[in-house]
Amino acid sequence: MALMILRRLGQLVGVLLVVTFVSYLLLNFLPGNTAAVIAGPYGTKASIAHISAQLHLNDPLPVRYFDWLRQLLQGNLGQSAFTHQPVGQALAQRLPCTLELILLSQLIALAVAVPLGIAAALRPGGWLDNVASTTAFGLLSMPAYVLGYVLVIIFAVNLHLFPATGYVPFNQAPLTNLHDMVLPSITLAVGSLAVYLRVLRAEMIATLSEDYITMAVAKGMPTWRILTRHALRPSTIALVTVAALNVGALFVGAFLAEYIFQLPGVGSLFIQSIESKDYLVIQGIVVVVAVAYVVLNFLADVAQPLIDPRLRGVRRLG
Amino acid sequence: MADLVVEPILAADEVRAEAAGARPRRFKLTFWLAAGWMAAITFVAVFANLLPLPPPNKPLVGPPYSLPSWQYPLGTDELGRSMLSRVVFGARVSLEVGVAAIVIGLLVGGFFGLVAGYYRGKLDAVISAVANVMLAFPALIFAAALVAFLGPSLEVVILVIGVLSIAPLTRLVRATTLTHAGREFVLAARMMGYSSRRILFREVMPNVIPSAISFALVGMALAIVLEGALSFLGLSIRPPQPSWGNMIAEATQYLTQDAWLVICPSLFLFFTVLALNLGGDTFRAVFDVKESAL
Repeated sequence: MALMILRRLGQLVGVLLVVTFVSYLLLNFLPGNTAAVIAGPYGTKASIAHISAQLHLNDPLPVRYFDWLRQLLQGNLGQSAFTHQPVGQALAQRLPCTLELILLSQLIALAVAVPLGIAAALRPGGWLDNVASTTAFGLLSMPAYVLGYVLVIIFAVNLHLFPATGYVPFNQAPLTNLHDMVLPSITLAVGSLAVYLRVLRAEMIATLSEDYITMAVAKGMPTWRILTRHALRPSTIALVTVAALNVGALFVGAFLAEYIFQLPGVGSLFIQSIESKDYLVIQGIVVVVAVAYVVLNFLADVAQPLIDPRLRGVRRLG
Repeated sequence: MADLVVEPILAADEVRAEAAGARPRRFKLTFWLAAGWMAAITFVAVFANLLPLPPPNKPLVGPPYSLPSWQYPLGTDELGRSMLSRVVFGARVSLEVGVAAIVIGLLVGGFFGLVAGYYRGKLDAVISAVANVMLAFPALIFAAALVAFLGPSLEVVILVIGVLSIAPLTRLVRATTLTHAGREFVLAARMMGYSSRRILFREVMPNVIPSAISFALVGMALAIVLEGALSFLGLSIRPPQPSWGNMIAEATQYLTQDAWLVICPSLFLFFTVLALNLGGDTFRAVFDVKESAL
């Protein structure tokens, strides 16, 4: 067990090195003189020279990369070419909003997907299963930038129930904040919800046909206890893996939802930076998101034996 | 000797023919609707220039904000441009990106997947490691960053989405190849002295193609959604050239005046993505592609 974690940790470091290197390489794709492009159209000679010195642009690539990596580990991601704010600070300011959005969406997604998935798996092919599966399939085909505006048209423009834009930090006015977050959270939740529902349903159907479930039924155990104690737990493994793999899509969805509902999160910073060609900010966000994604997937992998004792001490197949 | 090898193959062919006979019954009405929609969209996208439509950027074809009617089939937008014409030309962008990106993914990813799954060993380890790292980036964020760094244009968008589709296709084709490389007919071909290349492309590849097609359809849907997102963020084809994504983005300014301008391109996008997903699902069910192979 410990050995497995150690080996996975080694892989993790390797993947992180490559991921950060590729994020670093983004700067090399810039056309023309890198420092001049980063400085923007209003960059002076002095600021270009300053950027060039700061990023060590005259050093060979590996030297530059490891220097950048050292800075990254110290939390230094460079500074915005326009606001001159350090990228790390800008990210820290906007992260709470994005994380709140992701957290709320996952709560909604799980609160709907888990009971619905269990109910659908109880009678596969029944009316509830058909409705749930068909709806999930349809929702999976609906991009966030379509769903978001559908919600705005219905709930903001026509019914005036929830605002289309606006954001107050949670610690200032919790209720207003939650009210503002309803539509963005639902927009983001729907994609995850559909995925979780499908996975949990399939896993539950497989688990419910196992011998030990038949055994439990034969012993006269109440249905809800079989479902929650015996069936749900082994079915959760796939859910955890899928949830971790879903993190990438979740960031993407969060970015789009922030843009649609004009929330001051990392996503709107990302999109603003793309519009204003603030390259160091773009790079900083890419590297932070990619690292978060890789680390979360690692954690999900390591967590699997904790959920399912059958996986302990045995090397996972495949 | 030859009989020993040929007979099972013939038997397998019979089984396959039976399955083929059973196949049409498994295509449901929804599948035909999806296929019909895709055929119609493809037709109008390919022949957009020949159709009796006003140019997509011609203003005041009718009064602005007209609702759908006989004269203006899908209404007109805030400048009085024909929505039908704009949606049709937008379909062209979406399909172009979807098809081109998946072709890149299939050719490159398919090749690496076949080679990795068939030869295994160090080659497989290297290819799998690279694919895993490529999958470590959230697609849209990396695509948006790349397009921002390279400068937005349709070619860049196709290239970026194409490159992003290589890794998942490599993984899928590798997994499918693995399950076939150990089968009896491959062993038989090897015993008959066929070269590795012939076995790989003539014996293994035809068996991998169904699952690759099933995934390619879903991948095309993903590529279209991704292009839509990039367009929506102003990182793909630029207005006034219409694409579904930038039509949605533009129309959001007029959400309170005329919600139809958002709904119309959204519906086209939704139905196209739904149709492709349904197609992929049907293929998977018919050819029994294991989802766990991913």
